[in-house]
Amino acid sequence: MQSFAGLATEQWPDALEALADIRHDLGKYIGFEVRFLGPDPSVEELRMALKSDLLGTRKRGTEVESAWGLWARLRPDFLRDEPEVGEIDTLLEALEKTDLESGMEELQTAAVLATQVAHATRRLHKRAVVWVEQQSNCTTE
Amino acid sequence: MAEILVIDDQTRTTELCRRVMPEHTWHGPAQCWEEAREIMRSQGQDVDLVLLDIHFDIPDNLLLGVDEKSSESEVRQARRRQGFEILAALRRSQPDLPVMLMTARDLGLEKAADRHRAEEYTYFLQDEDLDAASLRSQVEGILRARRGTERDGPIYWGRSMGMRRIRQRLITVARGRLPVILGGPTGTGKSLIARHLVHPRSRRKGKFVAVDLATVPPHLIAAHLFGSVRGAYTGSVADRRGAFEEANGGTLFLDEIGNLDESVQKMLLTVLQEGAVVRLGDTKERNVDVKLVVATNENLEEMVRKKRFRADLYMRLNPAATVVLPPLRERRMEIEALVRFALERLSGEQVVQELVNEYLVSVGESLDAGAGRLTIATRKLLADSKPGVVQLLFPDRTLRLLRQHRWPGNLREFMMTVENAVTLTLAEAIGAGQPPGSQKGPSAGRIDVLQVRPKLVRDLLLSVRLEEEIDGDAGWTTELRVRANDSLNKVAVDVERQYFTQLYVQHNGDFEAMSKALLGDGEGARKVQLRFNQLGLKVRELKGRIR
Repeated sequence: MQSFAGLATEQWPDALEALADIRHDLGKYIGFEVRFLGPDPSVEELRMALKSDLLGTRKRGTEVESAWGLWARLRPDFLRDEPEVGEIDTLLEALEKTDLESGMEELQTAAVLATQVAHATRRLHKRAVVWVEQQSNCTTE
Repeated sequence: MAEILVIDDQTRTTELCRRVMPEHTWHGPAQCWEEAREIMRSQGQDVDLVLLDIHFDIPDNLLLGVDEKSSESEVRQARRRQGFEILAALRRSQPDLPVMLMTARDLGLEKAADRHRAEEYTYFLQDEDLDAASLRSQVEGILRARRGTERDGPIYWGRSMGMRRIRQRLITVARGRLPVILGGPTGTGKSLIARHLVHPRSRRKGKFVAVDLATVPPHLIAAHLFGSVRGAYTGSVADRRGAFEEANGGTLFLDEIGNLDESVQKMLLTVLQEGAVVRLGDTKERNVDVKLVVATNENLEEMVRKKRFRADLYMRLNPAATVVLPPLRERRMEIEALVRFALERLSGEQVVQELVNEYLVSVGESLDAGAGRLTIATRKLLADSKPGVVQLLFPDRTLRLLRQHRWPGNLREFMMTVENAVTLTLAEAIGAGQPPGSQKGPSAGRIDVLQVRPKLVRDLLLSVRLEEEIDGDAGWTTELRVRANDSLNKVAVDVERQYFTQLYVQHNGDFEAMSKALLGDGEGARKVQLRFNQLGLKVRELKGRIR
């Protein structure tokens, strides 16, 4: 079972760290520049922001990683039965296929999908934190 | 415009901040503590705000809080919490620098965060849902709060803990009835502080009245302070209210309190004891309720010991509430910030505005869009030129001269020097129809950039009467005497001789250091020594003056 329930107690700290990494590296930055656009961005502004968010999600000096590249590296296989992992797989697959040269409607859809990825990373991490706390309390009792 | 440092292993935050708030100067990103420290050092610690990420995915050797014995798990944790380690390191040298920690809620870092939550200058920025408006709002809010404690009108407090403590102490003693003594050398802003900080913070509804006792003729001081009735003394033709009555319900500032003679000291003591004044030549008591602020650049306690000031009056003046302002030379690290402050104030002055407009017209710029604007750049320029905007650049050498000067006249001298530097630079440029002198480096060819030349500032810092403040145990005074039949050449040589002497003493006889100060280059030590000899100066005679 590749889920929270399948984790041994000694695996909890590393699991939480891994999910926090995903939440920070992928979740925070996948919608980063789109959030900073004004209320009514032009199609070009949205395009540039999305390209940066999806193709250059993580930029450190000259190192650049796309959203799907990051996920491929950080994906928690040991939790692949958790719903958010499958959700993020699907969302990123759709995003990778998005033509970022398309029109406003497609770009807006992509922006929404990117936000959903961010939310999924947060939910996954938060549920893991709550689950570990609950398990710890049960163990103490 | 603020100087903001971003410490983040990612470059995107900095890029975005530059785009969203281009009016500020964004430094970084510094990807680790060492880089951050280097940037701050190069900025002369002149950073207004730090944006600090928490999570740093950087090589182990750049992480704080780990060593070669650390386990993989410890290293991973250190990466996740690196921001807190950097914050702790930063706080050791900059306890009051505002830092915004960029962190999401419930990341499992609550314990580490709680340690810093109570810190006065640490802010938490929830960055997962951050957008342009909320980032700007938070950054501006912090900068506003900081500016609020950095200055009070024309007073620049700066960022040092020492000055902040002084300000806080003044705010405390401003309330209440008791007098306040302001000490410190001349030109440190005592009257400004009385007017723009103590009086407003006293919350008294009456006026602020200032009397400089050094400028009132001694035989008129009593009448000036306590009032008089017609005929009380020769020349007194009408009843007159004194400063105490004028300041009733408000604040009375008496500058140079050490100038009072014995009789006036006694009268002042009586007023403070009774809470009432009797005008000269009168018998009627008039109640007065005054917040008294006195200032002196002498040591009142010393004067009491030497019986030049009454001990009972001194005690009435509430010596426990004495606040002593430091000389400007003890605030060298803030010179750059002070230059900015002075420029901000000057740029609103009409004469400077007119000079800016005149310069712009002289180089062919139109003023159709309105009056020209002066901005300041220290060390480096704003990236692009803008129509109607003149950048006044204070290069490193100029700033160094300002930092090295002893400022015997303190802030007053400083403000005058900066004002002169600005107006002369503008005037020179107008006369030439272009930026003065040959401009090298990034400002070459830029007509919107005027460099405040080091030579101009050096000349301003040398006055015809060269007098060095005696500062306690090891001072000496130089003086230039100019006789009517002295030739200009003789005077010039005398000035140069005095200047080189001062330079020699200031740099402890180190010709390389003198060369750096004079020529910006230590390689010219031989040239400096040659000129030294040509002026007839003898090293063996001056060695005794080095402290």
